[in-house]
Amino acid sequence: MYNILVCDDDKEIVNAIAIYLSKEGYNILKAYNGKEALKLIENNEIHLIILDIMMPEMDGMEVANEVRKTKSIPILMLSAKSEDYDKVAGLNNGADDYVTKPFNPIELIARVNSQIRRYTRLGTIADKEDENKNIFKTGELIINDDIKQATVEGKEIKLTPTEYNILKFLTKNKGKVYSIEQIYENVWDDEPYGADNIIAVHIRHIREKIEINPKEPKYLKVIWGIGYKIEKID
Amino acid sequence: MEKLRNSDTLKIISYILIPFLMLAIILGAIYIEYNSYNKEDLARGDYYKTDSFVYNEYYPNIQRIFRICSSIDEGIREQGEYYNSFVDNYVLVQETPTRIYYSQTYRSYYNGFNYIIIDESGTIFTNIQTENYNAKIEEMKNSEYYWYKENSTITSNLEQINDKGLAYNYGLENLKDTKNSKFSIYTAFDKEQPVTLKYRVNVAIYNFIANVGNMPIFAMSYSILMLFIIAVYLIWAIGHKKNKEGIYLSNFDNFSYGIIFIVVSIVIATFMTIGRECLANIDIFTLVIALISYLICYIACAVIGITTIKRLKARSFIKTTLTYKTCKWIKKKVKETSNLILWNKEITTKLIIYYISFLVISLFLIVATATTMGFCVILLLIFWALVLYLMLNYAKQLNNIKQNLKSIYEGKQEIKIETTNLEKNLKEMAEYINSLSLGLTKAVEESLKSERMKTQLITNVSHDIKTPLTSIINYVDLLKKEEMPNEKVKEYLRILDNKSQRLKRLTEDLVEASKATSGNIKLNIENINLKELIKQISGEFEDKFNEKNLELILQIPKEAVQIKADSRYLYRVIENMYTNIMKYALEGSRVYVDILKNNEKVQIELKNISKAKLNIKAEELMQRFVRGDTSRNTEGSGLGLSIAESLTKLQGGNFSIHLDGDLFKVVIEFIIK
Repeated sequence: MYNILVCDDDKEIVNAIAIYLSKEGYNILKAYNGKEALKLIENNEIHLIILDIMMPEMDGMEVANEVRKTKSIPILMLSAKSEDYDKVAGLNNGADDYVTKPFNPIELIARVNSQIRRYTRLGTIADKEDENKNIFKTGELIINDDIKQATVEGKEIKLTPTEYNILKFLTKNKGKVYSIEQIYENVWDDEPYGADNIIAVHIRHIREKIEINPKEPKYLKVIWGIGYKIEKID
Repeated sequence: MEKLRNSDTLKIISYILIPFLMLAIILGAIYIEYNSYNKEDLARGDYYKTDSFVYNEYYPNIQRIFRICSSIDEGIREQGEYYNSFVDNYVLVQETPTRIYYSQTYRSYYNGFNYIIIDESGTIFTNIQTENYNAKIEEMKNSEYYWYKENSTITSNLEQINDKGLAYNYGLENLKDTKNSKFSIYTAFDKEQPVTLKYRVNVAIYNFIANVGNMPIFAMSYSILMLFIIAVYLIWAIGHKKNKEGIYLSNFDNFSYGIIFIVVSIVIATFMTIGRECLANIDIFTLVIALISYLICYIACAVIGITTIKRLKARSFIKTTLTYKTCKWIKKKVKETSNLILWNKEITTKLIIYYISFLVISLFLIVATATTMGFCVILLLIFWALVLYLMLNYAKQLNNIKQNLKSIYEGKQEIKIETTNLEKNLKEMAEYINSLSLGLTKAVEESLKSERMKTQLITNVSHDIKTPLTSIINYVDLLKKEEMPNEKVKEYLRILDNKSQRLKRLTEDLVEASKATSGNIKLNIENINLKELIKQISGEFEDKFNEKNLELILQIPKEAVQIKADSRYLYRVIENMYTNIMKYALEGSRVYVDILKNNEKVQIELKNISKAKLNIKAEELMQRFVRGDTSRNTEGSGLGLSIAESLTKLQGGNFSIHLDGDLFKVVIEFIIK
C-alpha cells in the first residue's frame, strides 16, 4: 500500500485523481494548498506527490523546493501551464515528471506507476547484469539479447522480430542519432528496398509499445528531419 | 609653456623689439649696398668727393648754372635786361664799374654751393655777396671743392667732372657742350656753410660705413635670426590669452577683413609716402615726421598681421573676408529671387525655367567666346562642368532616396533620410518618406505590441479554461466506466466526451496559432534533411491513412535534401498538413507528396482530392477559424492552415494553397542554403 499525496486547489480535480488512483490500489492523501501539503508530508510516509503549480498561499514550485531540502520523494507536477519553459522550470525545481492539464487519466496512472516503481524498487536487477555483454539498458528500458526480451520498468514488451532488431540496434548505440537509411543498413540484412517509410512505421509501433505517451516519448525520441535515437538515461 | 604663450609682457616686448630689429636690418642692407656699389667712394675717404655727392649734388648745380647761362642769353635777346631770369630772381646790386646781379633765393637753395658767372661784357651773376669778386674767385679756385671754367678750359679738383673725368664719363655731354660758351663760371662747395641735415646724415652714414668694419653684417644676421624667433613666437602665441580657452577673438577680429585691409593699405601707403618725402629733404623736423610715419606704418602692419594670424588660427579667416560675405549675400539674394520665381511652381515649370536659363547662359558665353577671342571658353567649360556636377549631385540624391524607399519596401522600417543637404524638391520628398517610415514603424510596433498582448491574453485565458476542462474530461471519463441506465445516456456521454476533447484541442491550437502569428516563438534553426522528415512523418501516418483507405505516393529525390529550419516546427507544419489530408481527403483516393528540388529552392507539394466541395477561395482558407466545410461539423479548430502558414513564414519559407476543382494542393517552399 503506497501513499500518494494529491495537492491541487481545485477540489474536483483532486477527487477525480483520487478515484483513478484508488482503483489502482493506492492510498490517497488530499491537500488543497501548499501549506497543507507540507504538513501532510511532515506527518505521513508519502511515496509520491502530485502537485499543482498555481495554488494560493504557497505554489507548487515552493512546495517542491521545500520537499527537496529533506526528502527524495518523487514529485509529479500537474499544471495548466504547457509552455516548454514552464516544464523546464518545474523539472529544475525538483519535479521528476511534468504532466499538463487537461491530462489523460491513463497516462497519468502510467506515469504514477512508473515513478512508484522506480522509487520503491531499490537495487534493481540491472546492476548485476550490467556486465553481461548481451544486455543493453537505458533508464528502465532493458534489452536482454540472450533471451530476445525487452522490458520497460519490469514489464515485458511484445515486439516483432524487426521491431526488436531496430530497438536493440538503437539501444546498443544509445544517445546516437540514426537516419532511416542508416537503420536500414544496420538492421536489414539485405539492401534497402522499396517502401521508404517502413522503418518509420516500425519506429512508431515500437514507440506505441514502450512509451507511456507516444507523442512525448521518454526513450525512443524522434528528431524530425534528422533521424531517431534512444535517449541515454543513467 | 602655457605661461609663455599667455604672457602679455612678452608679446609687448616682442612688438617693441621688431622695429629696432628692422632698423638694424635696414642699416645692414644699406651697408651691404654701399659696400658693393660704392667701393671707390669709400676709398676716397671724403664724402664730398664721392660719386654720389658729385653726381647727385654738385653736378646738378652746375647744370642749373648752365640753364641760368642760357636764360641770360635769352634775356638779352628778348628783354635786354638780365634781372628777370626765370631761374632766379636777380637783383642788381652794383652798376659800375661792372654790373653785378645777386640772387638771394638761389642762395638758400644751393646749400653751400657758391657760384660766380661772368659774361663776355664782364657782368657778374652770383649767389655770393662780397666786396672784391676777383679776390673771391681766387679764393674759390683754391677752395677744397671747386669747379670752374675759364675760356674753354674746365678745371676741378673733383675728378668726376674735370677734363679728365669728362673724357670717359658718359652722361656729361651737357658739360662738354658748354665748354665753348662765352661765360666764365666759377663754382665752389663750402662744407662749413650747409645747414641741411641731409648732408650731415649722409656724411655721418659715409663715415660710419667707412669706419665701422663688418659689425652691421653681424648685427643684421642676428637681427634676422631674432626677428625670425619673434615671428615664430608671435605666430604661436597670438590669440591666446590668460584664462581663455582656445583663440580669443575680439569684435575687431570678427570685423570685415576686406575693410580692415583697405583702411590699413591706405594708411600704410599714405604714411610711407610721407616718410619717403620727408627723408628726401632731411632735417630735424622731417626726420621726426618720417619716424612717426614709419611707426604708424609699423603699427598698421602689426594690427593687420595680428588679426590675420588670429583669424587663420581660429579658422574664421575666409568667413570674415568681405569677398566671402559678399558672395554669401549674393547667394542669399539669388536664392531669394529664384525662390520668388520658382515658389510653388510645378516641377515641369521649374525644369523648363532651368533649361531656358541653361540655354541662355550657354548661348551668352558662346557669343562671348566668339567676341573675346576664346577667352570666355574657360568660363563656358566651367559653367558646363558646374551644370554637370549639379545634375550628378541631383541624381545621387535621388538615388539615395530610391535606395531608402527600396529598403522600406523590403520591410526595413526604421528609415531616416538625411535631408539637410538635399535640393528643395527632393528634401520635401525625403521628408514625406521619413514621416511615412516613422508612421510605418509606429504601426508595426503597435501591431506587434497588440499581437503580443493578444498572445498573452490567449495564453492566460487558456490556462483558466484548462482547469475546469480537466475536471470535465476526467469526470466524463469516470462516467464512461459506470453502468449506464440506457443507450441514450451512453450516446449523450459520447458526445460530451467528443466535444470536451475538441475543446481541449481548440485551446491548445489557439495558443499555438497566436504565438505563431505574433512570432512569439524561439526558433532553433539547424540543418534538416527534408527527405528524412517526410519519410518519418509518412511512417507516423501510415496506419491512419490505411484506415481511411488513402494511398500515399511519395516522390522524393534520391539524394538528401538539406534545408535550414527548426526541426520541431517544420514537423508541426507537415504534420498539420498530413492531419488535414487524413481528415478531409476523399476516402479511397490517392495522396501525392512530392519533393521538388532545383538549384535554389526546394518545394514540398502535398496533393489530395477533397472529400467536400471546395466552394471557397484559397486565401480565405488560410484565415483563422475557416474550414473547408462551412458546416463546421468535422473535428478540428480551423487553425491548422493558419498555424502552418505562420510557422513556415517564421522559418523563412513560403506557404501557399492552390485549389483546382476538388484538387487541394499545398506548396511549401524553402530556399536551399
